[in-house]
Amino acid sequence: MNAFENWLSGMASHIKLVDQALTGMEGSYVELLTVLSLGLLAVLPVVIPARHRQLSRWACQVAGILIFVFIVYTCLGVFGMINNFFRGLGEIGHENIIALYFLSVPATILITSMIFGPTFCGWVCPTGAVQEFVGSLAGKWHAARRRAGYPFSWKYLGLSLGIAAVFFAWIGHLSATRIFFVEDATVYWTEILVMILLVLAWGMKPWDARLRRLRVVSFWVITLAAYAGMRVTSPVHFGFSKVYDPASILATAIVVAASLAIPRVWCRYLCPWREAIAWVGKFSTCRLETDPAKCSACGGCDDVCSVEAVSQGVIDTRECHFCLKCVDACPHGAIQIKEKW
Amino acid sequence: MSARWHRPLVAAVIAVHAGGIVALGVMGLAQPFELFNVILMGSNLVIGALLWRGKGDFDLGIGAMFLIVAHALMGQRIVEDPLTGGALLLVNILVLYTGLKVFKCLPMRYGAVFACGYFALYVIFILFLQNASPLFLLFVAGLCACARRFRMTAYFWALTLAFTFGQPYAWQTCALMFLLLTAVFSARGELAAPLALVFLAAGLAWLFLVLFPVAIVLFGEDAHNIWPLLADPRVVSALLTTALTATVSTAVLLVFGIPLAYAVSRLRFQGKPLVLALIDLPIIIPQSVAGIVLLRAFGRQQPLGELLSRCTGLHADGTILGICLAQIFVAAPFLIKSAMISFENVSEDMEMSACALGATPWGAFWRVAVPLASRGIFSGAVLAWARAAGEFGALLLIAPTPETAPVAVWNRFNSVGLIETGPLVSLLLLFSLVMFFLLQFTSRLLPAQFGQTGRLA
Amino acid sequence: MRALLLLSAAFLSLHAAASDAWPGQRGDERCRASERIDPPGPPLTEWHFRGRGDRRYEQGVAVWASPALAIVEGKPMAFLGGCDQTLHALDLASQKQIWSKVCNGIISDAPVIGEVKGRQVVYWGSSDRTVYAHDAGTGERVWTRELIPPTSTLGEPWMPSPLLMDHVLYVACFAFDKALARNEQNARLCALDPETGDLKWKITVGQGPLNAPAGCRIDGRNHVFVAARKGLLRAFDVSGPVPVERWSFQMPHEVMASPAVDARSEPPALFLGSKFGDLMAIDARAGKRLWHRMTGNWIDNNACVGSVEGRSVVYVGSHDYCVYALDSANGGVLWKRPLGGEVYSAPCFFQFENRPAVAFASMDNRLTVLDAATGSVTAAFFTGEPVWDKVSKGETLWGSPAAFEEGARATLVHGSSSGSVYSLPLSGPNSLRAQVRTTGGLWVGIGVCFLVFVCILLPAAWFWPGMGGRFSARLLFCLVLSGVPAVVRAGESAFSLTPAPPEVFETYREGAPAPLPPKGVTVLGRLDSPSFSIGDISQVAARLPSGKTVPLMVDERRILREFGKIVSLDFWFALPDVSGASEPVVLRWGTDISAGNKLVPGISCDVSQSARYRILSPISSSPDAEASASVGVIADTKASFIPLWYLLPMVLVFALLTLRKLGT
Repeated sequence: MNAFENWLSGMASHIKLVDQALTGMEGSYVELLTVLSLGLLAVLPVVIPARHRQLSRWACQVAGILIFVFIVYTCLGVFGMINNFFRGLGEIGHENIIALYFLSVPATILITSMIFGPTFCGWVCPTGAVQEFVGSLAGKWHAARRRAGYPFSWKYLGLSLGIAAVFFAWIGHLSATRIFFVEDATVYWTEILVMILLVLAWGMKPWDARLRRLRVVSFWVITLAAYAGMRVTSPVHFGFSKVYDPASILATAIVVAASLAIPRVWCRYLCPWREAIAWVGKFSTCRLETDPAKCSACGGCDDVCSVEAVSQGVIDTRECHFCLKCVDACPHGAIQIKEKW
Repeated sequence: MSARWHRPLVAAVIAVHAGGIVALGVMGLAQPFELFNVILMGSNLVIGALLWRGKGDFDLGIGAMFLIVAHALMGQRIVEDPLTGGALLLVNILVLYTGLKVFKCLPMRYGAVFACGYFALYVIFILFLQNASPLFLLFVAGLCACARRFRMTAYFWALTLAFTFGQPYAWQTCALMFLLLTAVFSARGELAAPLALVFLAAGLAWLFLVLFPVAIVLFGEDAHNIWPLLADPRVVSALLTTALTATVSTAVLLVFGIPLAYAVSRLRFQGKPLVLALIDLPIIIPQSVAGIVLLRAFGRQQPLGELLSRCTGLHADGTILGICLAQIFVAAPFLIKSAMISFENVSEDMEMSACALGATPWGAFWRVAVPLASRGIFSGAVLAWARAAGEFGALLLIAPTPETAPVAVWNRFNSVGLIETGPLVSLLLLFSLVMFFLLQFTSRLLPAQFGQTGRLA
Repeated sequence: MRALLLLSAAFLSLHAAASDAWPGQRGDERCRASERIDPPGPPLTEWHFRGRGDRRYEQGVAVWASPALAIVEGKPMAFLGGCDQTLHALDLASQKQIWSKVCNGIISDAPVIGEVKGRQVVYWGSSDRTVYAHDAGTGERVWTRELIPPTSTLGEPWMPSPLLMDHVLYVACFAFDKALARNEQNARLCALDPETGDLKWKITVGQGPLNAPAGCRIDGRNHVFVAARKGLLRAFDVSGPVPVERWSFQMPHEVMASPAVDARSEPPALFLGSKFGDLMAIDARAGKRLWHRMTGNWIDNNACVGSVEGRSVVYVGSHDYCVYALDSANGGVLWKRPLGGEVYSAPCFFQFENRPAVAFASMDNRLTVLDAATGSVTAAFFTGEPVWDKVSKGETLWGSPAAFEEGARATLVHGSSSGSVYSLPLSGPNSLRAQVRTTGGLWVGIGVCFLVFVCILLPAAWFWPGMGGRFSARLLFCLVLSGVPAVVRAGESAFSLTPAPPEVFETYREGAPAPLPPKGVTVLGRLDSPSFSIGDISQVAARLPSGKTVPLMVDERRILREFGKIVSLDFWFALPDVSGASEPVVLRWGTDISAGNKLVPGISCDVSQSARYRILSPISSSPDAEASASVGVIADTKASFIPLWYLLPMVLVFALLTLRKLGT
């Protein structure tokens, strides 16, 4: 176990391909590569023609992972976005460049979501991308389970128990070797994820819609943590900055494993940024609209959506990740992107 | 511009770009084959090709090409590094895109607001603030995002102005402006006239200005600084003393004030105007005068005070009794007045019918008049409680110890100064606000009076 | 072997004692933070000192800064300040506080101690924008100097440790003003005379907080190295009357530490860590990276150079719980020791029982002493629960330990975040010897989380309909409204819109290429030398040697008058064309400044040195001239051209729409 941990810490310390910012602004470490990438990747969905859409989406996601994990030498992560937004606002007039550094990531994502549609979750987010890639390995099994209405499955239960066992073993090792601070709260998020998996083993149908409300709680918790000045780091924190953070490595491993059991499990139940993007998406120019005249209720869109946001043409905007799979899957073209200025 | 000019224009722009880059390369001011320049040239060619075939919005395309050419030729002088230059170019294209969309798809006023907003941001961030041109890019992008709706633009401007002009009280200004905007935008009335909205906006603005000092202190302290206060026994005892004495005073006022109010409202007697004026007297008297007056009457060395202490062993000055006395004195008018008004609103027919049905006069009072008047009595009691808890001037004279909360603030200010008193004041403000809101909500549980529609809720 | 070690230790410490007692933030330039008591006196005993413990503690502020140690009149004394705004002078032998000085702002960094006119003086800066100099033995005030003029909207200034080198006191200071009309975020490096406190020169180094300067002598010239918190490390040659920038180096991330200098190695090297987690070794002459070693997490604080068995070793602690010892020549890891918590302090290198040792403080509230050669833990002390909760790590520079060595004994001095200052002798009984730390806290957290989920969240999710949606939107709104509270200084808002005149004092690199041929150039300066005193504005003028007058503009608001005379003023003048011009411009002042009269030493600037940037140097025409008027900078023509660029997209939008309208 110690050897494993040493290997992990070595890997986390060398994960980036760069030693420092590619070009820092005005004698600082602030670079705009993150913002540039986020902006470009967010614009692509509305620019790409429909023919190659899913392929470009896959390319965007891969590019997102490559850029934010390997090339941008320090990226501000998900959980810190509220904290960073407040911090950035406070730094205006104190150190303008640092204000830009802290404001830039949340502001860019929110601004592009408002102008070009809430495409962050479906096209850019590295956590979501990793879950989708891993989940696609078990894609057929997921589809079969959904069509059957989520019956009790031993395979699923076994997988969940296996994940729980890995979690407790890892926690046992970590608790003996490190002192944890409040910033390592991703451990608790992971614990709740494991418990959600177990709850859903028995009652997927009644609990799925209800557990999605936990995202609100998640959002509240990080907002209150920002209010109290605490730093809470997100599951992929070790990838965004070059630090060895065992809590976030554990969290990423569990999230990836859990996405084998339920597609995009983190995005569905726990991601706080999902709430923010959903709220912003209401004000966005681009929306998905279903033309009821064209919809034949074939259920084709239900099958492709990995978060079950679409049901026979009716889109739940609070769950929709704007991945546009349903737009491409509809045989009659009933679902369209509408831009409304 | 008719379509036949499109192709020549595209060709001209590409030619200018190529020529310019070559000229700069020859003059030694730029490297034509540097990565950034190659990317710019490439994207220009791609856009040019799309426009040549007639695909895409021509205005946007030609504008983007023009911007790319401008960046390629002059970009190095503006920013040294290509990443910032790239971000600048993208924001420029975003502004172009938004501007065209806003001017074409929306009524003129949206475009005017957008343009004025852009120039205002320019003035603030480029001309006034130091070292703020990267921030300008961010805020311009924010303006573009909000250009579609007046509401969003209003909130955006509230945020921007609070953090640029409103320093050092940025958070407070921002919060208050947000509240103001929310109230004004969601206002619905039956008349739906702009006059009421204007009154609302102006009145709220005035109200927030008046409450601004409260906002500063309330939001100016960290939670960190307030926790240790709760552990300080002196502070805790001051809070408890205030709560206790105010409650006791209000209870005494209720016991003695409600019957008085009932009597005065139901009876006619000689000297009624004088009595009504006397009930109001404590409001008019200044606080320190009230303190002196009470001290003169009930002080330990005065006849009455000495009598009191000989008979009952109680002193009035420097004790809880003295505090309660002062609080009762100053808070009485609030309760009595309010109770009187609400008793007057209960028609006497109710009580007469009760008596006709067999109730005793006490029963008619206690079970008919009082419940119907309860909301008014309750709000009067709340006001009296607040006035009693906040009494300072009289207490300073008659009973500076045991400390109540206002006296504790004064003592702290005198000993440690303005800044150190902040946490205690913040705590008290929070305390008062919480009490007030709780009481407001509780009052809704009481029966509404006959004929009241609860409009104020 | 031991004798050799002793001799080398004695030699090193004598070398240190020959110059100022504690010239930099961590003692000498190698940041060893230890002081030798020679000859050794009676052994020191354990002492806990509680400062003004009831002072309100602000989040993000260090409770105690690093101590500065010195032998004053035979007594081993420690000087340290902290969040209680007081500098305490503690006598460790008699275990008493000899004197203390209350300032108007927090003291966030260590003081420095130097010898001036036969007595030892303590210098420190506090966030009330002032540098203090007090006698180390008695606490008597020698001088104070306010470095940043106050305004009502000034934000919290930041003043790290000064640096005393070669009879000059270098102070870095940073102040920001958020009010729109006075907005500035300038960081300045000032040079003061340690005897009188007079300002010798002042340059603007950049924008953003600066860390404590470090200095050393390279090739016979004095160099000062200043790291900005944003990551830019700059080196200045300060041998001349005006500092000249030699090189600058961009660190990969935020830097909170000062560089540790190894001036004896070849090439002389600087060691600096950043929040990126890598420790850089930088060539102090050329400013190029020699090597860098990656650690697992942030490096907050200084590194330290010690010499063990004849070679130079760099010690640094990182937030990945480990202490690293690296060979200073090539960065090879000699040993790496994990401690019980994140290591946030700078190391302190000293001799204990004739072996080299290092001491670190870490976030498990322990002071750990390690053997410097092998890295094994020799002692650990528990320093108490902190008064703050661990929320602002990585943002604040916390205090590090320092050590007194006497003979084979050593005593650690550390101001811990529990609010006490500890003086801990390493040998003998000690009440703070560390107990086994418990790591069970994580299970408690996990258990609580489990209960919260099962008992609260699950039922709430089941029964509460529409837990999201409009409810959360409104609450989000309310939270956005309330914002994050910040400590606010009372003051007025400035509502006037007239911008302030251009600020003075920036230096640029000589000979940097000018992308634009300069049309004209503006020279800004400030006259405030001790000998400058005029009755009226008309008594100062700028002239070319040909006799032509250059119109001099003076900022009326920045004129400082004393007893009816003007003693300081800001001026600027513009030169129309400087290409090829080599005439110096001479500034004269006095009661009679007609062309032929050169009364008192003026300032001349040679405008031909470089196409874009100029550095002004004063002339000393008479032997007793005090050429300490501070003049600097040039604003170039870039400023007038750039702002219009940002209007381009909007202009383009209008143009396109107009064309479209015309076309249809």
